[in-house]
Amino acid sequence: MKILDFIQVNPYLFEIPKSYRSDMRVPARIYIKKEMLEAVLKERAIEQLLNVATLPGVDHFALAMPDIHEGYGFPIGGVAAIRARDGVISPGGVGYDINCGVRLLLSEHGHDELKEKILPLVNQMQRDVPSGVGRGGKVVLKESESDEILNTGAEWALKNGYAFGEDLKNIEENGNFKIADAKFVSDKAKKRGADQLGTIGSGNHFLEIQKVEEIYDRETADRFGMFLNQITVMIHTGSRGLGHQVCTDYVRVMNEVVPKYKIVLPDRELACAPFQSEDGQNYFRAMAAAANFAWVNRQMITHLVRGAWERVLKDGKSLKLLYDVAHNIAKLEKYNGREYIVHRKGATRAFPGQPVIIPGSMGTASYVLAGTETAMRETFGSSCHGAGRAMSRMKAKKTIDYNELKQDLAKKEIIFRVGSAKEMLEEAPQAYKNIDDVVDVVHGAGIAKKVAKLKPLAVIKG
Amino acid sequence: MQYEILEHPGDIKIRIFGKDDKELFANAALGMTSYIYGQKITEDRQGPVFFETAEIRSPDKEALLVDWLSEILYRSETNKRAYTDYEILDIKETDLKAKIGSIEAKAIEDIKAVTYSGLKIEKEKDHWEAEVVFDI
Repeated sequence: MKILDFIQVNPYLFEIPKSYRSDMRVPARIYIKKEMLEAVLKERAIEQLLNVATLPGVDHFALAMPDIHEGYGFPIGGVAAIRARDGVISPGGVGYDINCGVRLLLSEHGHDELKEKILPLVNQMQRDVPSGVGRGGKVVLKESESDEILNTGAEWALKNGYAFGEDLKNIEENGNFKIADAKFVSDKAKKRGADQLGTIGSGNHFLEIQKVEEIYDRETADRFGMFLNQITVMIHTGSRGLGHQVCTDYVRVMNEVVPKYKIVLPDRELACAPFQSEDGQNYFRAMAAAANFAWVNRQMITHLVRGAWERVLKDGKSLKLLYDVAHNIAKLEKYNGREYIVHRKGATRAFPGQPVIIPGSMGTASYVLAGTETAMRETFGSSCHGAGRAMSRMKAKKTIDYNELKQDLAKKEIIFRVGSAKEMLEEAPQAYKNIDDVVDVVHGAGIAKKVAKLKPLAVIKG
Repeated sequence: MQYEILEHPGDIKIRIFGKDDKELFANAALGMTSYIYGQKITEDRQGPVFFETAEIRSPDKEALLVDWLSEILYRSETNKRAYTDYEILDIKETDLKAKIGSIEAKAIEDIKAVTYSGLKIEKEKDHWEAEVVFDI
């Protein structure tokens, strides 16, 4: 595939027409700048996007955000709205880390007030919030409790003293995906997640103390309760082993049933079933249950972070939840009177006025944006989800000099609490696309508008 | 060579070799274990080995490889053990029976799942080869 195969719709939007491949049901569209597209063409990401355009029931376009990169089945940064009436649901369109997502906590303090407290805060948070490979949480669940979490999500957290009532209003689906049913989650998945509630995990997941470095839209920032130099805390993690197993289980089921529904797929990882079928509905309910688990996970971490703030500053209660967004999920939504199962894999819901939280890579800025009407018209209310990987982990380890990286990051005056040198290299800013470019595209295209930029002060990961 | 870890833009890919399909499946599991627990653990294992059996049934050979590795991943994560010993007792197109041995160990890397993405199993003239992409 070459850049000439694309039709440029506007400076931020490129299209591959339906005629490009005989099995495409709709055109594919990618929100990106021309200079970023060259790098994407080196991977299989666009081919994967074209595969998405072949799915039964896919409507309008197979969409990709500027943070697109190669995934498995769907590309990361992919969005597909599939008709609920006659289309399919695909676990590969959500991914293994079901409801991987981000939340942002806002403090009442400016950086000047807390300058001397950042170090004790990060130390306390590191002690209190488990992170890294194989680190279990402080709560080990009994089966009955596990089912209640899967069925009621953040409601369980509220009932058990891990949330404030206001928190739930500021979570997508109020942290309780009502369609969820633990009955459709295997014992294996429950066992894999049993000791992982309230844990960050590894990879690109993190806990960060930040400050508001720039405000782009004062009116919206005021409405969000954000101000210049404000200290914030960002949490990025998902449904951990439980979600990974739910996806594994249902990719297996879907692979078995695909022939029954006479669906022809260009990639087995896109295995799917009609949304209205029993197989489709079972996955939808299990996926929703895993999403609830992820919301409780981020809520438990919030509880631990508030505890750490209470110990250090005696004002843990002052940390308010701005919003919690899922960026790996499938949701039933209505557009122009028609119901769609909207698959967002590495993409964030961006409904008008809603905070859209975009985490940067390690040591780089994160952003708060606001959803728009344009997103409702063009992208089924969706926007980007992060920087997006630009270099493989292996290449990062081979080509980036650890000492240089440490010096570069030290110049930025950020406190790092990262598991290992290997992880530092794998997650180095050079290994990711430039977050500023990604956000400029969605802002320029109007599918989300910039509200504030957040600078990291302390990072805990791995 | 039993396996090699290859470049992949977002995740990891393992290429596996075996003189027959039995060895191919055993080496695939070994490659995954060495990624999660470090290469040293498979070369110089310490501590008592606990043996158990695993039986897998899948619609076809590719699915059998994914399901086999997924089962080892699940047991490894929930039992917090590195599976270092594999004896494939019987393998057919859709069925596998194996004796697997594990030791207590601490993981150094996470694998979320075994994927079908770019999955290949090929029977060459004198050996078998496979490629598997893992979501990490």
